[in-house]
Amino acid sequence: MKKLFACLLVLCLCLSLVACDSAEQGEAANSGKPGAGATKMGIILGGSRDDYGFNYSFVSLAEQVEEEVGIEVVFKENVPQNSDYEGVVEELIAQGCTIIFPTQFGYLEYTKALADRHPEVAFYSIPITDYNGGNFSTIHGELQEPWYVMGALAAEFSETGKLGFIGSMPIPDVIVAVNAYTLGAQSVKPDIEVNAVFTGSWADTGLQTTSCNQLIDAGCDVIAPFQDTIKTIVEICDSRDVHCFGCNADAYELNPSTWLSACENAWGGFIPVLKETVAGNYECVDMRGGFEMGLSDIATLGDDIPQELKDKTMALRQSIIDDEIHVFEGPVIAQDGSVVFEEGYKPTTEEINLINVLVKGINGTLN
Amino acid sequence: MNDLITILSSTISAGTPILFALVGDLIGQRAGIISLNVEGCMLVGACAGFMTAATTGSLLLATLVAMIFGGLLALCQAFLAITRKRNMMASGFILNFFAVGLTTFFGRNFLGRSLGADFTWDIPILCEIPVLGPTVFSQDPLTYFSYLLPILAWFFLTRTKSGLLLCSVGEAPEVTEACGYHPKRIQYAAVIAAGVLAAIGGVQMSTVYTISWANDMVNGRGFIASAVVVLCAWKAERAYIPAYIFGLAQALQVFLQVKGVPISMYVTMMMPYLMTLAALAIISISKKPAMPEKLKIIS
Repeated sequence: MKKLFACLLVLCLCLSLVACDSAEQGEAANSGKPGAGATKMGIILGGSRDDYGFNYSFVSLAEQVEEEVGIEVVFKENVPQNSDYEGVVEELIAQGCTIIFPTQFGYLEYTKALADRHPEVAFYSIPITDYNGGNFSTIHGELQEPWYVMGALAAEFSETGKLGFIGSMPIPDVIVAVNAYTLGAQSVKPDIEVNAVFTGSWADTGLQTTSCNQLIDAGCDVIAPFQDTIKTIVEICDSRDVHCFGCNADAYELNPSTWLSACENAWGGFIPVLKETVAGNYECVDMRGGFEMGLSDIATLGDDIPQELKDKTMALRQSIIDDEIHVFEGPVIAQDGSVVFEEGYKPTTEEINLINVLVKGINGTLN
Repeated sequence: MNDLITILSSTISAGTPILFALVGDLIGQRAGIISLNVEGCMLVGACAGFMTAATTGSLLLATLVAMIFGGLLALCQAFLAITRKRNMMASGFILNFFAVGLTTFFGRNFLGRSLGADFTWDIPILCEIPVLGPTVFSQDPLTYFSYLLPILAWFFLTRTKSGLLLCSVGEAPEVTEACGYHPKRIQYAAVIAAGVLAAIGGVQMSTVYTISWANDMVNGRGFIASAVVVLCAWKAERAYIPAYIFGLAQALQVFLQVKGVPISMYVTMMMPYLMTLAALAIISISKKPAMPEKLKIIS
């Protein structure tokens, strides 16, 4: 009896596999382009979505996707940047996700392999990569515009004339951010001092605390972090009665009076692309842009900022959108006095991302 | 003068969590068990302590809860390494991953929570001493306790019968047994004490040092504590040296950048590890470390 039951069970399993296979094949045949008719999108995070920083910004993406595109979003958090990631994505695809959104540099190699294996799935990657092509697209919000506005706001707000910057690693995004932040501050107060420290880590709360305290001890009264988790910095700034920015996400709710603003990952420019993909009109894209393209923005302005300054900040944002101000327009001078961009020259995004020096006025080193 | 205050203050705050974990693991190692799980115990202590402090506003309660959870995690290590005789390195390592998962799950609702309390407690008169006042004597009760901890541990291990028994287990458990004691029970107590002390280091880190909870916030400090037990040659009174060397190196890592000293950023990033390694090398060539006999079997 047991043997008969086991045989029947095996038969049922085999039949169900055949049925699944034919159903999947039928679906793929109907879909045509990657992501066509998607009902689920998978977002893969390297950390926790509640970090009030980089990963938190994807919560806002998920809300917009569910509301405006009408598809379900599945999160996978704390996914390591190794081959385990491939298993996680395979699982998401098996669950029916035909749009995948990896968020870390460390996923790129594996994403390329996955994209080759699953031509029916549309992959949208945040980091810029040469792998772009076919069903592998990139969506990258440029940072220089929001960081420039933050710098101008910080300079207006600072009473000591000293600004602090807590960077993680000296990678292109962070270098662009600290340079744009300084140029923005210098546009308001040419002699302002920006003290930049690099922790060598994205989320070491101990080092964040030490950095924050020492910058405040050195006289900085506005702190800008380029870190994944910013909660500790907000708490330290609050306890030391100085103000700070966030990073990558709108975490105004953490502490509205200590909070000034942040460079925020915005998704307004991505949603129409996603709608087209779901409608079966996928096109491989390499989107890079700032305010105008709706890929990066300024987060909610803090409660301690006077209304007049808020208006001025928003006016500066508008000037950038209207192309009246170009963040890295020359002359841009490096720390050692060499010319990075000649007077009047407006560099392209690619040229900006290749800057590997700090601009004059920054107290810190990349070497 | 202000720079000195900044460096000293940063050194103490960065070194204190390591000091707790270091003394804890040292006690465990003197009983012949390496507790690599102190990293996990710190994390569990940081999470449970922060949750309690944010809810009740009491540092005492937070510390007690952290001690309980740190002790429970250490109990797992004790069971695996002593009763089940599993490889103590492997079990300790695995328990750390378990702690990361556990705290990420339970700490989620507290990632955005503020502590809403300041546990700084200035010691009257002493806090007015120049330089030392605002740094050494303007701290929290856990940091004050950490000042005494290595001395207390030294006294316990070398001047009390219980401490000597514990050390005897690490040297020759068969002799301890022949004297009518239970080596395994003593080892259990030592490993649990290691977890409890590491958890106090964790709660100090989350409620006083960084005043926030973040996933995996201990970030390898427990491993460093475990490694530098060698540096103090298993002598508790020397625990100040590696803990504060690490704290000083971390303070200098930022300080040199803030002061614009023309030194490579990568060198400053290496500094905490470089200084600790240098100290390890100096110790190892200057004097033969007094490694417990039981540990020699696995080293």
